[in-house]
Amino acid sequence: MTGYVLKRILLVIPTMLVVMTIAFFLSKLVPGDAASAMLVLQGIQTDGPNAAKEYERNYKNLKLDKPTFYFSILPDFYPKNIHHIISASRRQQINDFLLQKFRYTDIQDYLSVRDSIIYAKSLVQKDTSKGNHISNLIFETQPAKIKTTIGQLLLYGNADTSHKIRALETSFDNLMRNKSSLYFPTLFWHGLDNQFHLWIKEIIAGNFGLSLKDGRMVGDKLAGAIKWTIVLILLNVILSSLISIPAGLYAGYKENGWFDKISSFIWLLLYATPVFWLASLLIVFCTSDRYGAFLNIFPIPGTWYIPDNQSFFRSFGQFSGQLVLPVICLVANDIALLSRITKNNVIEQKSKLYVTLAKAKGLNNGQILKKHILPNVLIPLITIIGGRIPAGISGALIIEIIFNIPGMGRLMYESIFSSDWNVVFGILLVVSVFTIIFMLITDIIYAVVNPKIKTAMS
Amino acid sequence: MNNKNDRSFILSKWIIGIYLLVALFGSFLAGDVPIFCNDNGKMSFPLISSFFNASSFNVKYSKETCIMPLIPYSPLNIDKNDPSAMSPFEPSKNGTFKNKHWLGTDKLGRDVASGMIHGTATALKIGVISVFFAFIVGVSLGMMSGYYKDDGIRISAPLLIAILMFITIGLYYMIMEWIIFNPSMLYFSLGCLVMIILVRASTGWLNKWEYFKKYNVPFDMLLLKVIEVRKSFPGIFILLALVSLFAVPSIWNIVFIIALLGWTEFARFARAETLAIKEENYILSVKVLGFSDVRILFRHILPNILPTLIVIACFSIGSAVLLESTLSFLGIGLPVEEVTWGKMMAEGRNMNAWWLVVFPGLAIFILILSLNSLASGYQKSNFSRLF
Repeated sequence: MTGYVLKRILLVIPTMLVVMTIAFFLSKLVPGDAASAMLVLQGIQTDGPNAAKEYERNYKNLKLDKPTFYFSILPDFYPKNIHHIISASRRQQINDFLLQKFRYTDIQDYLSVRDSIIYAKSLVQKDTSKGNHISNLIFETQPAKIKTTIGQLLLYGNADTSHKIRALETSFDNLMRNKSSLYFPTLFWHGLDNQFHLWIKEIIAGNFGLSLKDGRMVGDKLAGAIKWTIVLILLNVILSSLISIPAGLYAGYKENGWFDKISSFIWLLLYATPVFWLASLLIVFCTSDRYGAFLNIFPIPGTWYIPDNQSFFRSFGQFSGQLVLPVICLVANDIALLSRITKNNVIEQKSKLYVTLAKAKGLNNGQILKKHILPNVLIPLITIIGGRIPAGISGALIIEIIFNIPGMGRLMYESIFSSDWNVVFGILLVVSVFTIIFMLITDIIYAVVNPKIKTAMS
Repeated sequence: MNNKNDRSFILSKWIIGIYLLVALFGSFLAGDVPIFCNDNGKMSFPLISSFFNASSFNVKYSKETCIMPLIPYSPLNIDKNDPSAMSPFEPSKNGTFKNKHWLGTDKLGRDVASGMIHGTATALKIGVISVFFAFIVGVSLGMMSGYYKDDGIRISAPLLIAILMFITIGLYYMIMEWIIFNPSMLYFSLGCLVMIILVRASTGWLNKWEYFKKYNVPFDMLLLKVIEVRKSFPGIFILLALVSLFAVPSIWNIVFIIALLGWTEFARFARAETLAIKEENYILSVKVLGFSDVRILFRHILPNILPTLIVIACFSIGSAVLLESTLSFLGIGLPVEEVTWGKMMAEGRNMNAWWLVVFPGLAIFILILSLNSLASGYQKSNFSRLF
């Protein structure tokens, strides 16, 4: 038994690593720049005097200058680590050049010559028309436009600057000449000093970084949100099991009876009802007296204001009225599936030989149901209810958003809209790890409870 | 087959047929372009010609000489005569019976009935196309893994090296050249084709070489690992995270993401069914006859597992439609100009307008209900055929 449990736990580790890797790479694909978001958060103006310095500090703090993974396979004209370039516009420009397959060394040459002219412009040149021309080059990455601009500069340039512009033309010609149409992939090894490694280390230590929206620790935000999600899921699982298991047992016990027929029909309808439709209907019709005073049953989903140091039980008491409607929606969504599975299990077990034997022994139906069928039905239900809990987090997401409950789903939703990627992928990771652990626990409990698996393993 | 007497099965078939017709011919039911015009003997079909020529949308038609669609409003045009957020029971200022807003208007004064009809097309497009791709990928991988298991594919070391080389280098150039340097789907699919041909050719050539020792490819184990990883990401969370990666919202992103997340379900069922059917005598006998694996898989196994897969496909279309409406209800991932049921419901909930909540929701509800009962009808008929 312990051998099975250990093996099962060890098998989880590679899955966990793959999940983490996927979450990491997804978080690298998002649009936007984390360092400039931090800059905004710190109240530093992006065009202020110390913006470049502060950007560099943030960039290095967030370890964005490190290579992304342990190794990279890039075409041979690429630099080893493009993230090393700190200025965002510069990095973007070099990237644009690289995408046109220019060699990195040539790009550097061209850019340094160009920068020296742009820098010298204010000292040497007073002519505005030429100044205009050279400033056209600052963000220009298209070869055709660069060529025209250089041609114009040569045409209208005076003797002081023409040698510099000739140097620029040479470096640009060099750039164009060495453009590689064919290339080989090159493997770069970066060692342990990379973003992924440092990120995984932080995650294992429980540090998800800072929220880009309000500067709080992501871990703290998650801890505040996860409580409400857990409350919702627990209430959902307990209530739906309490309703659906007896209903399913009775319906299966008296198959094709009146109860079975009515409940099957109701479950069929509930199963097809989108949970957000049910929630919207209940909010529109049952929270106000607009359509008749007798329909004003539930409180309107309001905003949740929870003071920072208020204990959880107190806030639970305060908002428990608000939780009634969301829990009803969640339970309605779940009971259909659970009771149908219970009923089918009962019907399946009823046709087994041991039931016939029990009947032959002279037991009445109630005794057979209680002593023989029930244990056999409940054991598979453990897996199903265990599987419903991670699925319940997904179901809770939209309910949290509709009813303003400050849980994980709502946090994720708000963070997506404010581009707070640390929070988004922190939540994704936490929820996935929770799911993996729950699948593991369900499997182990199932193995412990089920005598068939127990004997198979020993 | 006892389907012929199953009333709910027949009814749901009809309902889904109607949904499909509405999705296909929505512009004939609702829109502001007339179907047929007779302008002093000059006959024209503006709606049909507008499919081929987009500029003809700007032409003004006099409504007296034309036959308009049943609901003469486009889902995006604002009706300036009637108030916005008009309930279906309020009298219309447009006067004639034809121009009434049957299901009211929304926040901006657009016709709800027209939006419902055009929303059908969006929902079904996403549902059917994403399930189609998920079906192809999932079923082929699942069948392979069920048929070959961990010891069915045996390849020698040189072949393994050749295949790995072709796949890694091929994938590398494909990603670099056709996705990063020169984004184009045509070149990408061309690259796929070249890679498949190379791998296939090397397989045929190198596997005949008996000199080297052969090793098993743990195809089944790999697939099960992938399915496990997919299962550890809870549905809507990974969906939201993936959708938010795309800077420009579009229907095709959502189709792609739903297919990417959904194929494992088909793979799971196709694998299980293939495993069960593989040991049957007729498969063993065609193996003895010396038929190729591809022929056995597609001609003998696929037709027998198809009924189960159709059941899964029906449920999957339902859940894809549900995912699409959830996303548009949340306002994530779908372009602004796209009319969807979910968007209307979100608007109705915010404004407390019952007609915007009830009708789109009812459309989703009926569609999912009939897909579910279609699936269970198929399930029953499979069951009765097998036993």
